[in-house]
Amino acid sequence: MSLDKVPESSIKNSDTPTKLCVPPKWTDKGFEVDWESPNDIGPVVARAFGLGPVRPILEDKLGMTQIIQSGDKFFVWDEMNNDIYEFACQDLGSALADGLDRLDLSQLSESTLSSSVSASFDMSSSEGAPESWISSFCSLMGHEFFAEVSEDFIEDDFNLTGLQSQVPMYKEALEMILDVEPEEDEEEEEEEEEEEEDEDEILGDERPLGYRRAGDRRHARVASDLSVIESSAELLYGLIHQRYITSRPGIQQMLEKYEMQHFGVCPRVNCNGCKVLPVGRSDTPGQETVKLFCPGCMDIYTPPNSRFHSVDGAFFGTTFGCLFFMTFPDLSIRPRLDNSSLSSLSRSASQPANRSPAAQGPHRTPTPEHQPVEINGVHTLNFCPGLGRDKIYDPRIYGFKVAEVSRVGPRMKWLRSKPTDMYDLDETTIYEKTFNPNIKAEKGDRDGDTEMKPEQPQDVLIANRKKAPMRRRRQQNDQQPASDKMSVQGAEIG
Amino acid sequence: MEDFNSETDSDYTSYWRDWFVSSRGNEYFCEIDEDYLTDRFNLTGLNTEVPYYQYALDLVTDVFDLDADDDLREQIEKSARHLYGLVHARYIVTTRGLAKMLDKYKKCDFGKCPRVMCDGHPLLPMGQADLPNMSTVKLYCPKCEDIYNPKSSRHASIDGAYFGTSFHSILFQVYPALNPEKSMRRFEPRIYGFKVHAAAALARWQDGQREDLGYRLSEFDISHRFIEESESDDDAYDYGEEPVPAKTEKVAGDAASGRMDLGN
Repeated sequence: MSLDKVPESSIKNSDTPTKLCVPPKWTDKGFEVDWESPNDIGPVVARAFGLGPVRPILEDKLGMTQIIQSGDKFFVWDEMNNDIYEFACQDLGSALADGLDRLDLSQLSESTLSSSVSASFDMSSSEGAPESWISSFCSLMGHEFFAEVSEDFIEDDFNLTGLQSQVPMYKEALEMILDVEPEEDEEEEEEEEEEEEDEDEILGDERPLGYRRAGDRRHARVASDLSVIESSAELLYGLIHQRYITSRPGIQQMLEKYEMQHFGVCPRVNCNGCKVLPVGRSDTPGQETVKLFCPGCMDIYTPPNSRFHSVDGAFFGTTFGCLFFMTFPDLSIRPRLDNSSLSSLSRSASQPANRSPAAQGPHRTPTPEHQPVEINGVHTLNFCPGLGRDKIYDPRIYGFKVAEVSRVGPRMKWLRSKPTDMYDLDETTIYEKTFNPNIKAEKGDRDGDTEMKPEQPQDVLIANRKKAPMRRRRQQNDQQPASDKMSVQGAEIG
Repeated sequence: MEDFNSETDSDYTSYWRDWFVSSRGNEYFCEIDEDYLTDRFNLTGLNTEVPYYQYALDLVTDVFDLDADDDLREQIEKSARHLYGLVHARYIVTTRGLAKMLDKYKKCDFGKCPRVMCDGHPLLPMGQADLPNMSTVKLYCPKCEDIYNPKSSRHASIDGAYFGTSFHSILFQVYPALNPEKSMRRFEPRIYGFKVHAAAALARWQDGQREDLGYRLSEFDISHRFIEESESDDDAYDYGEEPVPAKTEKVAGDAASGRMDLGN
């Protein structure tokens, strides 16, 4: 969007808006973030980014985004991603207000947008040059997950097969995306005026020549058409995007975004900040919003920032998540913890020492030897690093584990489990173990290794599973007073 | 050393605690009863943990009347917050504390589970250690029994020891009826509608683990049911499973009529 990363920004802006009209969903008082004392989180963060004394201007009602002023410059602090952007706009007072309105994606048609507003939210790279619809779409607040689809991809009709019937006003939408009409660059301004003046149709002649052609053509349109086209264009772009990111250039582009951690990290503690990818749960638009797929635990999560709660998941599609990691099998998905300099900084403000918890100590249990380099087409090292024995949360009461047979004991550990011996996931080995146990001797000590581990009986349980019903029946007869046992366990816990 | 004000002060408004609990970033804390704070037994051992212990306690119980300079006052203020947190960890496992935290849990004061399959189940705060300065507060989801990082950096800086490792387990031991039904639903990665082998093999193995859990429990005459058992996971063991009909592209008309409302 509009905002530059701090170091490269070069905007001068001296007119301080003395009075701001506070946009809806934003507030200019009662901030969630503390700013008063220099050790409050706001000033600490500002210092971390090399800003001088700051004062808060606006904050969104969720307390996730702050607009702050430092000197005569304005910045947006995205608390979720720990990023600070500098405003790149000239007429800050009005642009700020209008622009935020736009950021909130509400009532676009009602507000009179000026081109300076969209310009105010442009990336600095394209500053000065008129921006394409695609890059301005991708730079809108909430659209950070989108890659910029190359025009070549869109211009190839083959890539658009079948979309015509899914998108209303397909042709106009496509034109809008490709900026076919010259005035699309200054789109909003012209369009809004157009809308207002459509009824009397006077202004056509006073327009510069380049605009007239399109303007004339548009006279036929009803005012509401423009917003229909705009939303059609977004739908169409989303659907093209879904296809594009599974293509070679698209997936490459997403890789860059992934590596820069544009999509955030897994909220799960035991995933240690594994980077996530945006995915959809459906390929049909209008069903579910975008989710985040974590390769470390093979699960999906809701994006923490509510601005993504209005982005359609179909624009990323169901295929992308897995295809991505199969396309880049060598991409290390093991988490890096060190890039959270900011959060550790803000934490250290309130806490002197931040030692790592004992639970995550380095005493990893060694895995059986002779592990395959690859299992089912995935590098073993890259296969769900967030799952497995020491990655499962173990509830404890005063240090004692809660028994499984307690009435409210842990029942979901299977969800985060992973075999210690990767061969347990190999179909051939499973077959051999189940139907031809003798072959073990020939295969060397690998299988023996796991079976001799008394503390890890579940490693071989996949083989025993088939026998389990029989075993259960037998044991039920043996161990008579089951209820007694339970009460003992219950007492131990309760 | 000043004496504790006990009964005489109980109708006095709990000014400091009120302020503390209602200030930004402290939404996870509940208010500790005056009675609990003034019972010295409940504070056993904390005097060595907290600098300016007595002043801090006075401040928390609103009987602080020392003319301290700003520096000292700030120190004491910090100690008071630390003390409050440590007492809080003890308080929330008492009957009254549990009830208070339960109220907050029901109001979703601690946030909702980010895991999609948990459908926004309310979370509970917890620590990974009972000693302070070890790790920050995490959030426990009783539905998937896993722990997550708070999404706001405001909360991410709270010490986990202020909630303790045992609180959420004790809560459900005390209120077992509130333990949510566990779900078998899981995310199945697919490519063009086909399950991915590596993920599916792991899912089958995990399902085996779950079955084994069922057997182990049934040995103790516990029948544990996972909800949504009838859903598509049923076929998880069938190796020759029917491909789920891909539901792509079909609904052209739908998409056309229901235009996306992305706010723009």
